[in-house]
Amino acid sequence: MVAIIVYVLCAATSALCAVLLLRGYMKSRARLLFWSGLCFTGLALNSLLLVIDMGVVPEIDLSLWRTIPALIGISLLVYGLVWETR
Amino acid sequence: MAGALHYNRIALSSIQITDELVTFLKGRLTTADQIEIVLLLLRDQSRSWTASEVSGELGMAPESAAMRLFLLASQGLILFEPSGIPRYRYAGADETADRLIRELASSYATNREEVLRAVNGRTDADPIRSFADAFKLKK
Amino acid sequence: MMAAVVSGMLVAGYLVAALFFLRFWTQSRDRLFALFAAAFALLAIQRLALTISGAPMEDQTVFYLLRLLAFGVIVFAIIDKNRR
Repeated sequence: MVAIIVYVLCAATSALCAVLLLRGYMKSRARLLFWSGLCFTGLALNSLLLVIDMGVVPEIDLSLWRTIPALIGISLLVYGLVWETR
Repeated sequence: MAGALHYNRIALSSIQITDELVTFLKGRLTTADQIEIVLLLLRDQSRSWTASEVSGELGMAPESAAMRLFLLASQGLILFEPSGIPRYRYAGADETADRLIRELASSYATNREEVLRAVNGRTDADPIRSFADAFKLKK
Repeated sequence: MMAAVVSGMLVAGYLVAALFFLRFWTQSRDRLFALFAAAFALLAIQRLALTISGAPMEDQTVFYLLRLLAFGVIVFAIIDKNRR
């Protein structure tokens, strides 16, 4: 129960970061912010799917599906960090 | 004072960056770091600054602050005061330069991206700085 | 097996990101980057602990506490940035 609350908060925080970064990207056009924004979107999805897996559909195991958005997100972030910074 | 002041009104986001300012900036203050150093020194002309004070205030590494201060001093935009630790102060000797730098101060405060884009011809937004700035909630 | 590979990639990704944030911190002296580096390091540790333990679900206290700590650091970084 506490775990679900925690992961909801994590999803909310990730979503906030994603919004701030994508808004920042629209203002500054710095591509790093675009990739970072996508990364935090992936992390938010990861937390969200975790909550769904725990609370809504405990019979089905979503473990790999949960992790894929996080993996894609972090890969995009690393790509952005490597190529979009001086 | 210069005779014919040529104003090309580029009305971008309600600020106007004059041609004269752009010409002045090109080749002298082309990056955000350089502009911010000069504007910082302009803000308080009664005092002089060391490189580490500037780096702490503006969020840049002290070595690059020191190098930039030295280069700006050699251009004459700021004064170099040799002492134990080198200190720098806003020069303000040249009337035209002073007027343009004050104009820069108000334009830059309103919209730094537009100023940088006008000077560089493209967006040179420092990605690291932009990342940190993205988290400022009040815009 | 696949899950372990994916987890390993995730841990490595978090650590690489943390290292970049550490570099940004030394370049810019902005505390936000040090905090983000710590947050991503915590995410890496959480993922690693989860994988090693072999637990099928992340509902054990240690796992969600680590996640909470990581995102708490990020929230603190945002608050801190807006206080100055």
